[in-house]
This record gives sequence, C-alpha cells and structure tokens, in this order.
Amino acid sequence: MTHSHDGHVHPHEHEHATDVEPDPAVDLGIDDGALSRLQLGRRNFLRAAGLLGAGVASMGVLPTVSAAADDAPRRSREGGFRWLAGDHHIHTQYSPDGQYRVIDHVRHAHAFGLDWMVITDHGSAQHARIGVEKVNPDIVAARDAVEDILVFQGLEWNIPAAEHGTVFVHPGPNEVAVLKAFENNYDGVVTATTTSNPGNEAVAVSGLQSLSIAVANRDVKDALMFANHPARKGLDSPHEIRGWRDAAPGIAVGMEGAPGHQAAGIAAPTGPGAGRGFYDNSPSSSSFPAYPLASYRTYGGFDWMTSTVGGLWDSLLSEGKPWWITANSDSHQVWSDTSVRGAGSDFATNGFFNDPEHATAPQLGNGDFWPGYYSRTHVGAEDFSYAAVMRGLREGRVWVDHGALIDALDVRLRAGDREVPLGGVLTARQGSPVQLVIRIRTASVPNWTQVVPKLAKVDVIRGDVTGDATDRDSFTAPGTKVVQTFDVSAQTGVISLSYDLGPLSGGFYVRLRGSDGNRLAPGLGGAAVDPAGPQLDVVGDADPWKDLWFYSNPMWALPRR
Amino acid sequence: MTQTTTLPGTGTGLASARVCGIDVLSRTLREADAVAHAVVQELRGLGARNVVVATHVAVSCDLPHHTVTVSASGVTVTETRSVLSVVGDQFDVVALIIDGSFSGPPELYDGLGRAVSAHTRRGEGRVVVFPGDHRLIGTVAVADVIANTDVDRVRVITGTDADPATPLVTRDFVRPLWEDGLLVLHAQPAIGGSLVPFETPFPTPCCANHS
Repeated sequence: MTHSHDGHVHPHEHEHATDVEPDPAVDLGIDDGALSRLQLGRRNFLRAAGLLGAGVASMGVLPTVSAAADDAPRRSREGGFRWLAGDHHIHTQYSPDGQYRVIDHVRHAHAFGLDWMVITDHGSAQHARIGVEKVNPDIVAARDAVEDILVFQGLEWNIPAAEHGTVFVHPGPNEVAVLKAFENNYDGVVTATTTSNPGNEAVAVSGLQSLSIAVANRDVKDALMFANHPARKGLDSPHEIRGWRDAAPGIAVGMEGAPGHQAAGIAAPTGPGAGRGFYDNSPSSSSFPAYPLASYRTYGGFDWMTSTVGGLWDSLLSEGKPWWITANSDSHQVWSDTSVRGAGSDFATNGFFNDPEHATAPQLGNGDFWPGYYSRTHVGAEDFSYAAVMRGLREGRVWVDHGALIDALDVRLRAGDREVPLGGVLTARQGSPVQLVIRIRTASVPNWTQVVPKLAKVDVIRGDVTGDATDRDSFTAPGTKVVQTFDVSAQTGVISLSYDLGPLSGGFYVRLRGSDGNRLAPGLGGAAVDPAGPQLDVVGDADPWKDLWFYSNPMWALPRR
Repeated sequence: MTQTTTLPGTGTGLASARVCGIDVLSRTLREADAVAHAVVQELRGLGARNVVVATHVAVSCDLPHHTVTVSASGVTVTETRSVLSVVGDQFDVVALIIDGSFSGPPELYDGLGRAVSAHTRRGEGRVVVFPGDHRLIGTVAVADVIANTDVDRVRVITGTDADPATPLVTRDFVRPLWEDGLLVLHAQPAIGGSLVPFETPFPTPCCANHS
C-alpha cells in the first residue's frame, strides 16, 4: 500500500536535515554584526525570551549546550509557581463548524475553573478576510467582562502538508495584524498548501520562522505554536514535527497529548457513539506510511504519540530537546447543551454563524465539552499574566489531566541541594545520586460530573538521552519504559512520593503518568515496557469520566562535563 | 481475443499483466471507492467473476492520491479496457494499465505499475471488493468471516488475532488489507464486546479538506 512512497520519503529527510542543522542565530561564536537582519532578529528574540545559551533553549539539553546554563537562573525560579489551568484550543461562531460566541466560552471556561484560554478559529478564506478581525473586539470585550481569566487570540492553523495547530500571540495592538498576515501567508487552506509534499512542508517551516521574526521585531511580544490532534489522520510525520521544532525553537514547543472532543465516544443514543476524540480515520494518501493502524486511535483519551511508552513523544524527548504536551477541549459544539446554531446563518458570506439559539432538546450528538469541564493544561507561571503563561508553556512547566483527576502536582528532580521543576534540566556531577520527588494533592472536590475522582496509581517513565535522531522519521525510543509504579489507591490528601534514580551516569529524562485505574492494559510496546498503560478506547462506547489520567511533562538529568 | 484477466490464486496463471489498473487522481478513499464500484458494476454487467478490486497509495508530481487495480475472470482484455475507459472518461485525468500496456499521462505509470505489482503479489493494497464480501453484511462471527470469504485473518489493531467466536459488526463496510500474500481484516473493540472493522464507513470530516 505504501510502496510508491518509499522513493519520496528519503529525499525529504535529507533536505530537512541540512535545512535545520546550522543556525547562525544560536551560534554565539558568530558576532551579531556578522548576521543578516533576519538572523539577528531571531537571535534577539531568543535572547529576549531567555532562550539563547540557556540550556533547554535552541539546540536541546545535551551537555555541551546546557553546561553554559548550569545553575542560577533555573534554581531561582524553582517552587512557588502559580499553577494556572487553561486550554489552547477553542472554536467560536467564527469557525465553519463552530457555534458559540466568544463570551459563551469565556464565561463557561471561567466558571469551570480555567485561568487562561486561547480562541482558535479555523484558518479559512472567510476567517482570513472577516473572522480574524471580527473576533478581536469580542475577545477584547470578554477580557473586560470576565475578570480573572486570560483570553488569548489565536488561530487554528491548517499546517501546510500536515494537521492543524494552535498558533497564538501575546495580546497587544498588533495581535490581529500578525495573526492575519500569518494566516494569509501560511495557512494551508488559504494558500492551497494542504497537500503533503516537500514544497508545502517548507511553507510550514517558513510560517513558523515568520512568527520568530514577528516576535524578534517586536510586532508582538510573544507567539507559540502547538500541534493539535497530531496522530488523528497520520498527517504529522515525525520529520515534519522535528522540522517545526528545530526551525522555530521557542515558538513550536509541543503538541496535544490528549485531543479534544472527549465526549465523542459516549455511546449512542446518549452520545455521538463515535471514536473518542473523533479519532475514527484511516490512513490516506497524505498519511505518513509507516504509522501503524494503532496510531489512528486514542488510548485512555490520549493521542498515540503521547500514550505509547517508548513511542513518538519519547523518541523526541530522548533527543534531549523540549517538546511539551497539553490537553484541550477543541470545543465546537458541547455535548448535551441545549443551544443550536443561530437560524438564518450564512457562514460562507458572513464569516460567522448567527448567535446561538435555544433548543429544548439536549444536543446528544455533539462530541465536545466546555473549556475546563474535562480537559485541563496546568502551567506553572511566575505570576498571573499573559507573558507568564506563555513562558511557562515554553519552559514545559506543564502537566495535564482529565476529569479533574488531581488538584495539584509538584515534581522535582533533585541531586544534592540542586533541583529543577517540570520541564527543567538538572545538571550534576557524574555519579551524583538523583532523586525524583513528587507531591500530589488528590481531588478534594467533585469534578463536573459531581464525582470526586480517585487516583489509583502513579507511573514513573524513564528514558535515556541518546542525542539527535539519525533517522528523522524515527518514532520509537526503545529504552524508555515504566520503571516504577506507586499504588496510591488508599491515599487521599497530600501524597508524597520519592524515587531514587540512581547515580548519574548517562543523561536521562523522567516523566509521570497517573490513572484512576479503571481501564488498564499492557502498552503497545509490551508488558515489559508498560505493564499497565491506557487501554485502546472502545469505538462507540467510551465514557470519558470512567477513564481518567494525568500526564506530566518531562525533566532531564545530565552529567556535567 | 480470448485472453482473460484472472484472479490471482485461482491457479489459472498469475501474470502481472492480468491485473489492470486505473488512476484518475482520486484524492480520498471515498473517491477511490467510487471508482472501484463503478468498475465492478461495469464488469459484472459483462458477466465477470472472481472480481477483486483494490486501492493503493501513489505519489506522482508530489500529489499523493489513490489508484485502483482490478482482476477478474470471465472477461476479455478488450472488455476490461472498454470498462476502464468508460469509467475513466468521467475524469479529467486518467491513466490506465491494461495487459501490461500503459496509456495516459506517463507521470502516473510508475505508481500504476507498482499498484498492479502489489495486487498481483497480494503484497499490499486495500481491498474493496473480494470473493465472499457479499456475506459480510450485518454481524458475522470472526470464524465465519475467515471460513466464508477470502479474508485469511482478523486482527485487532493492538496486535492480537481476534477470537474466532467474537461477533464482527461489519457496518456493511469491510476493507481488508493485503499483507505479504494474506488478506488481513484489521478490527477494533466496539460496544458490548464486539469488534468493528478498523476502517469506518463515515469518518469524521475535517475542516481542512485533507484527503
């Protein structure tokens, strides 16, 4: 089925490998004066973002780079973060498959406990012409109308040659202008570049670089991109993901670990009776041919790239480069809501649906939840501000959960008196004992289905840092596995756990995962790798509230040279 | 002209030339299936038997798309050529391979040739029509799928063979894959302990119009 692709895949790899390797902007051996204007802009951006020479930054966390960054900056920031829950994937009446006003989403998100949210209507001809501007006053008004929630304007980018992604910017006078220019120049639908081929893949990379430049030029204070529902249709190949990450480090920083549409698997007639996350597609001519059929479905509500221990996410992390996961609602039309799209709407002409109207019947065919109702992305921020949320996301101080499984998660990687939080890079002498210290506050109040969820177990996942992938289409990390499972089913309140990771020799990373224990099965890599991981979600019968997980982002430990 | 195209595996000869192919640049599986069914309808109208039709991924001019291959007995090469030409006439671009000979835009020959070879070997391909498929209506036990159709194995996508007693809810839409000479139907767990085929007849559409 895929034979004819073979001759084409390999040339792409080489192009990408040479495309992304030398980046003068991050090579501090080159003077500012020797850089082109674009390169200097990019360097200034990285500098401003605290990313240049700062370890995780541009080229990864490998010892040669991170040694420069060693101590102080990260240590001063440890602990004391304000953990802000949010959602970076929300659609309004300005999406061709949306329904709600901005204020409908903002009020619900706030009521359901979110601190930040991103409005991400689909890129389209109508949106580029009308929606991207028209949604802005609605967002500005909502920022005023509802206090204590940060409302970003963004876009659901049709990534050229690939899937969708969230792109969003720091609020400011140019937020619309930057997003509009980006959409007109780089959206796959607007520019007819959705077809999977090398030329269109290059358009995606250029788009991300244009965001770096927009930030460097101070057109906007900040910009971020996350790949959305990455494995849904097999469109995001491993080399494309690596290409985005390496072309715009600090801008392209991660992907949805769990897609939205989490009500889609509720059995009919109570729910849509589809695949959880609406993951119900098959490989197409645009899919990456090496992805297995198993990659097209969710596991415990999470995307295969994230849920597979030793899978694609781990293959990225084992390179020693940051790539973070999030969990979002992708809210378009909410399950059991009693409103419908406004009558007399003409989206093609107007670029929006009329305001929603009351329907007596609950809309049980809808597959989404309100923002904050089920999926949460928790960001460790220095303060309550747009800039701090974006910085926390960029630095990977992020964990995610479903159904409010736990109240709080504090994880430190420690060696002697040095420690780092989630997303951090701990450097220590060879042979230093490394310890993982975990504090979990279990759910103290009911979630939005009026149940207090119960955490049953916590898994520690560990993998070695093996350096840059020689095959940029690799999606396995053979050494990564679950190294410890804590049964915490008898505990509530604050659970304190620690795990000795042994004396530091080679670089490694750890990440955490926890479950309500309701649906467990050996992982796709076998029981030796993941004895009790998430189960394949049952198509047409996946009650999301009966299968709850949290995932943390990784932390690295590297020997000092 | 009495030469006939022949179903691979029926013992009447397995020359690659006997599998024919048509490429109309179908961008989606739905479009490819429509081509496949149009071909089948025409062939059956001519009394063809043992009809096997499959789709294959091809890349030409950086445009990923699906080709369609067909084999059957009881029809002549001339009849097959006529059938594929009639179906192809409805499209702007059409390339054919019939009895080993190509026609149409040469950029599409490589993909068509590979597709025909894959069909002949039963090495790769997504099979739309195959002997016994008419028995896969409603719910059928896995054992009966294997006993009564050309499907050799039913596998769960997480990697195990399906229990023969498990009911397969076919949704009247079954697209097994050739894998190294075997026809394998991939399936996934569904409501009430049943299985459904991996490929969904009506997958959730996507705003971006990706194929």
